[in-house]
Amino acid sequence: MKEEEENHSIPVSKVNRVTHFLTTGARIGRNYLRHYGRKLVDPDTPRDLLHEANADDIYASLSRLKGSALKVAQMLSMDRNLLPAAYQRKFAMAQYSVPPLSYPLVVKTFRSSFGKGPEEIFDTFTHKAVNAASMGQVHKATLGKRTLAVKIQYPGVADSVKSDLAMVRPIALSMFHLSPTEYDQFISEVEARMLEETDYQLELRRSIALSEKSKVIPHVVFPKYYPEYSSSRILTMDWLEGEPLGEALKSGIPSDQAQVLGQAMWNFYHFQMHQLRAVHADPHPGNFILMPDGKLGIIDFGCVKEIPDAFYSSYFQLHDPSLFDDEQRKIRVFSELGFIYPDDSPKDRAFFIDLFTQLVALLGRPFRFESFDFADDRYFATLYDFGEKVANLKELRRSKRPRGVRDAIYLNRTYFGLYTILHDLKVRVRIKPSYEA
Amino acid sequence: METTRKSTTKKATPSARKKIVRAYKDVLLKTGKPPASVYSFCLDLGIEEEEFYSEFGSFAGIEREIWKEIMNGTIRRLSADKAFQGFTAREKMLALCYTLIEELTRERSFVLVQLERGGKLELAPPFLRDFREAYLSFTEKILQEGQETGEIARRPYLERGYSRLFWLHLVSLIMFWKSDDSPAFARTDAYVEKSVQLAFDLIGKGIVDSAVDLARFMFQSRRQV
Repeated sequence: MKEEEENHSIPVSKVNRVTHFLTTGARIGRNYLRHYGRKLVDPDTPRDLLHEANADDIYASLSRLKGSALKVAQMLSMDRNLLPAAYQRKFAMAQYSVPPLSYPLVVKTFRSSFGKGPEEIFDTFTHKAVNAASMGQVHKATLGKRTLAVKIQYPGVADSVKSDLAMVRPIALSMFHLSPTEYDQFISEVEARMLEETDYQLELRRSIALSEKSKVIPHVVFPKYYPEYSSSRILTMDWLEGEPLGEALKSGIPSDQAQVLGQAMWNFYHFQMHQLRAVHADPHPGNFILMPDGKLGIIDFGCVKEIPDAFYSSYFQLHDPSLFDDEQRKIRVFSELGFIYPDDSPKDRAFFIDLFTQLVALLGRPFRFESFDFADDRYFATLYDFGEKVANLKELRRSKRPRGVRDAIYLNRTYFGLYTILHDLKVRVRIKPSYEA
Repeated sequence: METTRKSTTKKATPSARKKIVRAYKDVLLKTGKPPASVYSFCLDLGIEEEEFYSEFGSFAGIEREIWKEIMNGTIRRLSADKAFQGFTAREKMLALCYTLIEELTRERSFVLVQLERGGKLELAPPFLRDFREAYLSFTEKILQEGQETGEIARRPYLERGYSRLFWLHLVSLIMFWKSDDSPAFARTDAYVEKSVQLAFDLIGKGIVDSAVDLARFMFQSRRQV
C-alpha cells in the first residue's frame, strides 16, 4: 500500500508526459480518420492536408514536452524530415528546459559539492537563475573583479534521461515511422551523448581542452573555466558580457559584422571537424554570444561528438567534389556509410544510390565552391523541398535497414544547425578557412 | 507501554544519557530488535537499572528521543543559518525538507529499522510523537509568516488543516526517501522540489480561490433568481 503510494507520487511529470503523447496519438489518429473520410467523398484529397494537420499537432504537443524527451523528439523530427521546413527550423531553435531549481536546492547542491553554500564561496550570487541551460540553470556570481556564470544541474537528470528515452520509443516507432533497428541505432547514439551531457566533470575537461586548442581561430573567444568551483553537478566559468546570438539576430546585425561572425563560426567548425576531430555538436544560437568587440563568444561544450578515424575518412569524402567522378569510389563510400548494403536488391540498390547521390550533391554543394553565399534563399528552399520529398519516400520508410550510420547523426545535426545560423546571418563564407592558408 | 516522560531539564549527566542512547541504537541495529529487557540491557552496558530509569522511562522513550533529536537538530541548523531568515515561506519549507532529509540520512540505518518495525507513519506511531509535534509547530510558524506576507492565501476553515497536510507530505517524503536508490538520493531532492512547489502553488492565491469565488457567485446568483 505504501509502496504504491510512493511510486505513485514520483513520476507525476512522467505521467503527464505520457498522457501528452497519448493525446497526440489520438489527435493524429483523428486526422487520419478525417483524411480518409474526405477521401471517400473526394478521392483526390491531397495528402498534404493530412501532412500539415499532423505537423501542427505534433509540433504543438512536442513543444510542450520537457527534458530529454523533447530533445529526442526534436532530433527525430529533424532527422526524418517529418515536420515541414518551417516547423523544423523552429524546432531546431527551441531549447528544451526544465523547471527552475529553488534556491534552497541550489544551496544544498553547493553544500554537497564543496561543503559550503554559494554565498560563502562567491562575493555575490543571484538567488534566481538568470538563464536556463542544458539540464540545469545558470546563476550569475561575482568573485573579486570577476563576473562568473555558474551552471547547476537538476538532481536526478541522469536517471530521467534513460526513462524519458524509453518512453519515447513506442511513440517514435509509430509516429515517426521508424523501424525498430533504425530507432535503436539512433537512440543508442543519442543516449550516449545525453548521458555525457549530464556529466559536468567531463564537460569541464572538454571545455578546457577544446577552447584551449581552438584559440588559434581568429575572432572567437571562450570563457575561462574554473575547476576549483566545479563538480559533477556544478560548472563555473567566466560570464561572457554580450548579447546571445539568437537575440542579436532578432534585432538585426550589421552585415559587415555578421560577415566576421559567420566566417569565424565556419572556421571554428571546420577546425574542429578536421583538426580536433571532436565537435561542439550543438550549434544553437543560444550557445553563441555576440561580444561587445564584435567577436564570437562560444559557450556550452556539453554536447561534443568525437569523430572516429574510420568514419572520418568515409564521411568527409562526401564533401569532396571529385567523389562523383569516380563511380567505384562513390559506391565504396556509400556502403561504408551504410547508405547501401551488399544484399540490397538491384532495384533498391539503384534507388538508394540515386537518392543519396542527389542528397550528398545538394548538402555538399557549399564545399564545391571557393566561397558560398548562405544568404541564398533558393538553395535553402531546394534543401527543404528535397527533405520533404525524402520524408515521403515509401522506399526509405519500408527499408528494414537503417540508411546511414550512427556516427553521422550528430555531424548531420551540426551541419544543419550551422547552415541555418549562417543563413540567418545572411553571409558569404570562404569555404577553405584562412587559418590553413 | 506508556512511558513517563522524564523532564530533561532535570540535572542529568549528558554523558550517561548519550551513552544509553548510543548503546541502545547499537543493539537495535545489530539485532534488528530492542534488547530483551531493561535488566539485560543495563547488565551489558555495565550500569545500574536505576541509572537507566533516571534518564528514560522505557526503550520507547529512547526511540522517541532519537527521532526528536533528528527534528530538533534540523531546526537548530536552520535557525543558525543567516540566509534562512530572508527566505520566503516556500523557500523555508524547501530548506526544511532538504535539511531534514540530510539529518535523516545520517541516521538512515536506525530510521529504516524503525520503519520496518513501526506501524503506519501517517497514523503517527508513538516513537514519532515528539518528532511530529516539533515539525508541526515549526511548519505552523512558516505558514503563518507566509500568510502575513500574502504568499499563502487566507482560506477560513481550510487553512487550519494545512500543517496536517504538510505532515502527510513529510510522511510521503520519508517513504520516498526510504526506497530511493539513486546516488546521493538525487531523486528524493527532485521529489522535494516538485512536491513542495506544487503544495505552495495550491495554497497560494490562484486557481483554487478563483474557482471558489466563481462557485460562490454562481450559487448566490441562483438564489436571487
